[in-house]
Amino acid sequence: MLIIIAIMLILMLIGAVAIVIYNGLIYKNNQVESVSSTVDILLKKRYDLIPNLVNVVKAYAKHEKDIFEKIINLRLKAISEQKLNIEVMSINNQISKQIDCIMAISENYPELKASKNFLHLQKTLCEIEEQISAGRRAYNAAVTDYNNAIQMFPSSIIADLARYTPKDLFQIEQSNKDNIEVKFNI
Amino acid sequence: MKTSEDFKNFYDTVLIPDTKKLESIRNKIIYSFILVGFLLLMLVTLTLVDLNNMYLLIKYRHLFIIISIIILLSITILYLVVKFYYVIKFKQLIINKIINFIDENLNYSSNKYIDYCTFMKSRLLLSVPNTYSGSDLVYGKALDTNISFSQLYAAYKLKKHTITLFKGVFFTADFNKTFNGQIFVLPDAQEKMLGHMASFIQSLDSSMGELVKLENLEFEKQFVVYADDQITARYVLSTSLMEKITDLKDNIGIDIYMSFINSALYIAIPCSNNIFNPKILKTLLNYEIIEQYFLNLQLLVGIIEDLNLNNNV
Repeated sequence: MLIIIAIMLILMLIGAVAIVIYNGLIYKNNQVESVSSTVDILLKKRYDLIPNLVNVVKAYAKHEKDIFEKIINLRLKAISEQKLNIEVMSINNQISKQIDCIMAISENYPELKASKNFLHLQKTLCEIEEQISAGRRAYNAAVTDYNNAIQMFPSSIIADLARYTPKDLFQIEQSNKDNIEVKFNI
Repeated sequence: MKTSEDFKNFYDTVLIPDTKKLESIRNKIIYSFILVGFLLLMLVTLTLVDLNNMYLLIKYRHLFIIISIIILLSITILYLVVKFYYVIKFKQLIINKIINFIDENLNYSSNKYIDYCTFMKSRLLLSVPNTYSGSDLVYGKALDTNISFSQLYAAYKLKKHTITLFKGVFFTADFNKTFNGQIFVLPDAQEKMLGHMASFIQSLDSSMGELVKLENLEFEKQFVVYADDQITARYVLSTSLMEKITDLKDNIGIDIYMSFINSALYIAIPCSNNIFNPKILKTLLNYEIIEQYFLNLQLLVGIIEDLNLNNNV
């Protein structure tokens, strides 16, 4: 009788631990989703600003068609994706690089640099870039936490049973780390 | 920011006459104490020497006690009055000029301090003090950034004793990024004791928000961060700012407590000594003594450049 009670208590304890671990995994997964959706909102904020930026800069630098077309195409490609994933982040990294190109180009047009609209856009975009960078860091931290939980013992047992799989981190591609080369179309 | 060489020139051209004036006051304080101390010693010695005539000592013992108490009270009052006068003069002639030298847009008031509301906005205290006082307020716009700092004392007085909640220098400035939310950067005592286990224990404390684990290892070793939003915390605590905070803490040499709340920065630096007060027993004619006041104040004003607060994003 005592043995039966002891076995039941042990099973209950294991069950309780399993529930706690499972809930922890759900929490970490939801954290990743939450941060991901916040980053998505920030990216959408930036998408909305891109047409304004192109219109303002176009008024002064009509020749820079290549850059404008590139950034507009990238924007359309990013918007067409339903959910934030590695590919969308990669497209956004390229958008960041194109925005940097446009800012570099503006140095050659003093009237553009002095324009209030442009200065306001520049400041807003700079803020959003910082927020996106923070979002990327927060996403990677949440994913690292989640990946650690599903790969480390004993939560890996529960993770396998619940079919949780590791998620990818957002990386900055090598091409985006390279210095910007600006070609002026004069 | 001014260099030590600039300050040496300033000291030679402007401060030396004032230090001499103050030194003569300080000498008078010390001489008067030596004199009174000597008189007291004489009185005690004469009384003790007259042991052969114990009858007199017993007969006039009440008079002796009264005279001793009067002398001791006089010494205490004299000390406090002269010290008060000396401290005021020192702050007017030396501290005020040093602050104007560091940045002419800064103002100084020896009897004002950071107001209670601003202090409580920092949310660095977990309890509400019922005693709040301070001194030596420095305020104004240095390097295009609004800053203010002062000595503060916040405590909770109980019937039988007083719990000091904070004593030291409190600094506040406009932060260079606009944000809503709160982030706390506190010394990580648990990491030093418990290593990696510290994160687990710290994550259980949700009174200041969620635990934020950051990428800078050196920063993580020294500080624990809590915030109400993970992304806002990383927006405020950029990789370069984390390095700057670590360097600032090393420069100051003691634990610092920081909070970033709704685009404002608050720093609490606990210290038992008042960095604005002169030391009666140390001569002011020693350049290094005066230079230390400059270095302390420069360190505080230099927080603007150290943390890049004057570069708005």
